[in-house]
Amino acid sequence: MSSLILTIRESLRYRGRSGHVSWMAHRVSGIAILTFLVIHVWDTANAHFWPQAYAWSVAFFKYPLVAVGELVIMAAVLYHAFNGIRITILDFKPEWWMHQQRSATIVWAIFLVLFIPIAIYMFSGIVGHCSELAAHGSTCWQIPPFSDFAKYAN
Amino acid sequence: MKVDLRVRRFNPEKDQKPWWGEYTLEKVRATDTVLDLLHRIKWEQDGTLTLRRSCAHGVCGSDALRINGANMLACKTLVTRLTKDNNYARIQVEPILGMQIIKDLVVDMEPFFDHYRSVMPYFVNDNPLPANGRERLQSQEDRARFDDTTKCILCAACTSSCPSFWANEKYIGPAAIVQAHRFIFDTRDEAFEERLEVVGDTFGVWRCRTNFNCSNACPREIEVTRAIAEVKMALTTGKI
Repeated sequence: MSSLILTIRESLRYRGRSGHVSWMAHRVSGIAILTFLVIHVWDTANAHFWPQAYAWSVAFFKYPLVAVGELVIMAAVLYHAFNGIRITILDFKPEWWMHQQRSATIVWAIFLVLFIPIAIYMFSGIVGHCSELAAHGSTCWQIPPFSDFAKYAN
Repeated sequence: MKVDLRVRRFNPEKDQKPWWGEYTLEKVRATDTVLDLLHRIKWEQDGTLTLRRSCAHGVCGSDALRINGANMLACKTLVTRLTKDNNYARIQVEPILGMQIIKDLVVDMEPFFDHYRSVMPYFVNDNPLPANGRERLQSQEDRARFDDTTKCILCAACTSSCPSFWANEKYIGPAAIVQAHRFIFDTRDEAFEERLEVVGDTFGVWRCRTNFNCSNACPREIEVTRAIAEVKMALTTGKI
């Protein structure tokens, strides 16, 4: 009966309350963090084995859409951390279960308060990078050719 | 009041996959239950609609269904709870999730009861009775520790609302853990070690992700997630 597709589909269809929404956000942010970790390990390994390929990676990470992806990772890390603390507290303090709805709201509030200024700072960095390149007659909307990476990696 | 009902239908002898049956009911009272509406469909429009119910008063736990997306008992859910409009309601009814559909709204509960049986849901104490031959006494405080979990009616609304159970039916589920809690925290019972072994297994309490769907779904308002967390703490600290 059970399957991954059924679980994902029904998790979206089930009309749970704040705990269910928090659980889904926790899962999605967890997958985002895991994806980032895999890329990060691969990328850092490049720095050691193929430094020029690493330079290609750094240029690639400055491509605006990838940079926005970094913003998403930041959001995922922040939410996952605070919601993780909330779940741990509720697991260790079962008698506080009645505060779970309020605690889920508090986690979202802490997340937004921290994330909004960080997002503005990171986004202004992306805009600054693009403006600098534009001032020199170049563009940030150009992905460094993958053939460069393949060349250096070999 | 007029009610449009969408009911998930499936006859394994005829249908390749489940489909939605659409029914309209007139002259519905706001105080009618969803079970009343399903009865009206079966008795007035389509006698082939299959559902399970017995007492119709929230005690037997036969008619747990997924109503408007969330698990509830059909006999305890009033139409007025599902709409803000005094003249119209749109209600969607599906079988509970994670168990094989036998027909329409009836699912195979046997795997659920297997999990229930696995936690030894009965009193174990082989010591002789007190000298007066009467019951084993217990303080009010000791009785209060498991009072909440004595209320379970085994409707499976909690277990079938749990994403961990949807993902893996081997997970014993909230209902079985609630039953284990009822006896683990009973000072008169002597099989708590065996029960802790069952609920501490790979498919036991550690599959719980604390998302509170079970507490919200329970028609008896049992603090299910709290009970699960108390069992987790008993396993972690070794203290009952």
